[in-house]
Amino acid sequence: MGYQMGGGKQFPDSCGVTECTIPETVANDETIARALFPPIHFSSSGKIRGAAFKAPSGKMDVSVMRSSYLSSSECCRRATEMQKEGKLFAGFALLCVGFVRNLQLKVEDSRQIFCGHADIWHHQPFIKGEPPSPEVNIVLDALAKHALLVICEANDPLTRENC
Amino acid sequence: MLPDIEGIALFGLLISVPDAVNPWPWFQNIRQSMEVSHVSDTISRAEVKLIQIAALPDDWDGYGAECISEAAIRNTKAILPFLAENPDILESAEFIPNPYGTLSLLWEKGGETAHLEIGTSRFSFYGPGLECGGPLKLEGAVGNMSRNVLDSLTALWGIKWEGESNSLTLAA
Repeated sequence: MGYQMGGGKQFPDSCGVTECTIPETVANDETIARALFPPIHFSSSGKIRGAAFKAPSGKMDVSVMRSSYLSSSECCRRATEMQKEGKLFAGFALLCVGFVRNLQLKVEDSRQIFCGHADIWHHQPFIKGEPPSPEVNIVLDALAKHALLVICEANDPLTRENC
Repeated sequence: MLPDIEGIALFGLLISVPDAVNPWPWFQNIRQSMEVSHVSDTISRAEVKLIQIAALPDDWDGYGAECISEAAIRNTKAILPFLAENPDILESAEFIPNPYGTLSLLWEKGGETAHLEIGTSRFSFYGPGLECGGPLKLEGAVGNMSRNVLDSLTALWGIKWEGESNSLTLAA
């Protein structure tokens, strides 16, 4: 399946309401991108950690971008906006939606945040100060092993083949 | 000059003989103190990592992460001496903060993974199973962490547990 980069642009309609042109359904063969901030999201050997796909307490959703539709420059711009002192954006973890769903996690569009935004949904909210069951870490460590690290400097398309 | 074969043989004997017949206990003492020093160095390095994690500010991951709880840090610190009974295991642990205030210790070796997550009052662990049938999965109160965690970690290294701990009784 081929996707058009930059297809996530928003166009105001005749009433001035902005319309998102990306399909609302997130397909299994799409690529999604999670922005990473070192050193926390990386191991000492540069591998992506499962903690990169965890949420703060009380939350179940993990923000990603639908990089099969958003251009790489758009993804990088949005991630760079999240930077602040001592927390520099380093790159993206690229995931195949089908792989995420095979791990029994939901992936859903969340265009109310911005056009091209989506969420990975955990089954339960994380509890403040307490670990989830071992099964959750098994799933997230598998997700981290599957994730492909891509940096923005190369300006490569943020998509994966064979999704 | 020929090597002192007799001296080398005596040196080897000295290492292998039990304490009761060791004619030079001072040598044994030096060896033991070197081992103790290695263990304490390993623990010190791990404690430095804990201090760094404890100092993380709010939103350290860019997605609204919370500070790591003091109790989780304290519980992790309490388990370090048990892990250091096999210093290689503690040395190779990755210390990872989690955005809801817990701490993970992660080991990867030979394509296998072990993951111990420690919180304010509970722990969660998975690692190589001790028997056939998938990974070992454990969870419960931090104070009831069983020796199975250590056994699973040593299985990752393919070694027998050298430590003396039969149970992990952590300070309250």
